[in-house]
Amino acid sequence: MAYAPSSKYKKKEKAALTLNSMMDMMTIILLFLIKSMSTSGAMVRPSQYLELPEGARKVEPEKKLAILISPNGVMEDMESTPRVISPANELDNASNVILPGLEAFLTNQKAFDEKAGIPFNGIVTIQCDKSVPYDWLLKVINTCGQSEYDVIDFVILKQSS
Amino acid sequence: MLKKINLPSKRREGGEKPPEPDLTPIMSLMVVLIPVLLQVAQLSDIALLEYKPPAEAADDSGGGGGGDDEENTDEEKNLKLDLLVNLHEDGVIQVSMYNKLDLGEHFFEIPAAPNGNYNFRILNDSLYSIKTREVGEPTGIDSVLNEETQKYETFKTYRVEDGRQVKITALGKTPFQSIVDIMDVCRFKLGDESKELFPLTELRQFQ
Repeated sequence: MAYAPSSKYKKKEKAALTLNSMMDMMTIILLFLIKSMSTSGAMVRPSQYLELPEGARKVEPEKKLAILISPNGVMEDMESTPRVISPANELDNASNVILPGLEAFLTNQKAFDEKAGIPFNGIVTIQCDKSVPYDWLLKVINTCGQSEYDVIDFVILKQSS
Repeated sequence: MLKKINLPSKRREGGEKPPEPDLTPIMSLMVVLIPVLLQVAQLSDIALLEYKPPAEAADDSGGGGGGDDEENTDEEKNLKLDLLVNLHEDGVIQVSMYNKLDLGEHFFEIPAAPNGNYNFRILNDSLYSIKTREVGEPTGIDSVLNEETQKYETFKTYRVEDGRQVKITALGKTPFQSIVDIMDVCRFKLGDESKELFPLTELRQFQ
């Protein structure tokens, strides 16, 4: 008669965590995210300093020369502490049809691009706060046009249908 | 006569397994990468609203020259709708065509919605009827070279020269959200983006 082996001598297997399936899943997610990033063009991130309006357009954003229009004035689009180009009092000034600060910024930017050999395309991307008044907007558009930036791309939030 | 083959014992066969690679550092990397990429992937919520004011016609003030025979055809070619949409502060929208400023068929007002906001639905319906009545069906197709993409873009031409254009004016205090809304309303018929209305918007000073 055969005896069952004593539990004392049984091999104790270590419970190891199998990471293979987890790795497969992570790889798929990673590839999907990288793919979606590459199809969304250059990085346009909504600024934390303003609230974008909602609109029905679905054109994918593409970042060119970027500026912000917030209730504090026109600012350079930067990740942290954006530099004020034209302050609110400059925009409020009724005699200012063209904003001197913004005009200087655009002229410098154009000259810088020319020096760097970047072809001038005359496009400016604007992130404008939804509460910004129309007369401020017109002044910015006029100034951009004066500096030969004829095409303006406004960044908006896609309307939730 | 068959020769008996001695197979290795089962106990010996399962003895050595190839060592598994240590995936823990790769997993840690992925755990960091994925949240970063997810944060970036929120970009899909934003879009662009292109604003390219139509170039002013060089002969806006009326050019000279031209023979008598060509006058009639020139007049037909230069027929302009001059569609203008005025946004008032009190929610009233004024629509004007052919530079008319007397209340009638070519100049009318759209009262505010019951909640006091602009009545964009009625404006959209009015623009659609203007498009069908005053602009009519396309008379042909033209193309223009896009200097940025170096590709030709085609667009429909109409009986009136500015059959795709609308001028928008508003009071100085009008918020940007209302401007975006009206630009959207002027572009296409609501609920049917295949019906183009006036996609070329021009923002102007309130007069």
